[in-house]
Amino acid sequence: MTKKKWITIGVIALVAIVLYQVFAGSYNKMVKGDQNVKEQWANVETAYQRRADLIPNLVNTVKGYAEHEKETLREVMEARSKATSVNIDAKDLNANSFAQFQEAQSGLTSALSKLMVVMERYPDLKANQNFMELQAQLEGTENRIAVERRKFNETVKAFNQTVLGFPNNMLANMYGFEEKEFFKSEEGAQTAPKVEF
Amino acid sequence: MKYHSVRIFLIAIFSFGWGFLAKAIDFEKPLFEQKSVQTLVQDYAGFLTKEQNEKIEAKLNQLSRENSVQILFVTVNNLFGYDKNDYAARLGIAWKVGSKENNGIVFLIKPKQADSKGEVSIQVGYGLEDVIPDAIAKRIVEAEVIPEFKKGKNFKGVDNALNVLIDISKGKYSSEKYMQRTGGDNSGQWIPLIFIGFFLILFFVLRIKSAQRYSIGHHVPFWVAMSMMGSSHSGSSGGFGNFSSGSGSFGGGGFGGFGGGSFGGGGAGGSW
Repeated sequence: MTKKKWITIGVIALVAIVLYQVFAGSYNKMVKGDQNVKEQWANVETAYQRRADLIPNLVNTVKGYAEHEKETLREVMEARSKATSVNIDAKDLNANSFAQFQEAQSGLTSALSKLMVVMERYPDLKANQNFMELQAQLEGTENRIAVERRKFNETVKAFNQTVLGFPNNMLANMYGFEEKEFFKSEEGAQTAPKVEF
Repeated sequence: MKYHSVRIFLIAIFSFGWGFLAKAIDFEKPLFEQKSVQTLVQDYAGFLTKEQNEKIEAKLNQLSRENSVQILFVTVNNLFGYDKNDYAARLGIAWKVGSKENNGIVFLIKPKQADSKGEVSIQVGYGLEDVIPDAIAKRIVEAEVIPEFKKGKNFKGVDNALNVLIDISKGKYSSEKYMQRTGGDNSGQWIPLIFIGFFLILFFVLRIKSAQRYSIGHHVPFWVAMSMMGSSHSGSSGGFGNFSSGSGSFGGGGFGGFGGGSFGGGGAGGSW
């Protein structure tokens, strides 16, 4: 009798431990994945912010050389303020806010590339030391943005695989984790948008 | 007779192994989609001669031993449609160039071909972005590399760039200093000489001092003591020689492997 009782207790304890491991393990895995995505989102925003920070300097440098391009410069500044106003917290990332963010940023991308085309007409500006440095930095940020976006998509992919796979898909609901959004490759996921000067 | 066949068998296995190793890289695919190759010089496009590559490799291996900064010098014939900076950053990320402090650099060259421009990119790991900002990377490419490549001086361009990258990442001079002096004159070169001179003087002063002490204690003329010190010192300097040859053989062994560095797309490139 006592022997049987002990066996029952042992089995129950074992099952409890195994269940706990499964639940806690998958929960921890999801939390970690979620954390990774948030971290990577911060990196994405930093990269975009870096670009936005370069623009006032760029516009000021260009102003001195290209009097006739006031309109283009104004468009760039407008696109910039629009882009910096859309700040999305990592926990509010959903299809809607994501689209908003991407739209604002690609608005700035196209305004910038328009400006760069215009700059071709000003050889003095292109020879300016300050402008050359800014152009190097701008190229670097475009590349950084491409890299961080790709890394973001990779972390999201890993997270989604965890959340959508069995049996985690059932637990994920319970824990309140959902499938996350990717960056759409509107700017060309393969190659960084080229800033040609 | 038996030995002979064994030897042939071994040679066959060995050469098969080599053939296998040589095929490890698939040139139909970008490098970052393949398993990493753990050396710091990978001149797949044959941009430099063998001796030049060895020279560079010795330099880069030494840097990675002494400062843990890993610079991967790699040349390819095909970028597979990727932008040079993008290609180099992807390679750095995939192969984990640099230590855990993310202090890796990828120096990528695609030589000029009949139907395409030559491309250079210097990509800097997260941990070195402050030390080598984009503008510096750009300057190195524009001032050190491309003018030499245009003249057909491949080695000089590569070597110049590596020297600057090594000096800056070692902290020998700052990137601002480099920016100021630009074109790469040799105004900083006398600094090591001063150090060497200082240590030589120190060495002689110490030796004279101890020779004086010896000559007073042992009633021998000062100059005799000096020469005796010399011989006793040569014993210990032999030891020192052993030590340096020891580290030399370590240097021959080379490079311990990439250590988990990551890249965020910092750096710059250029074309010629």
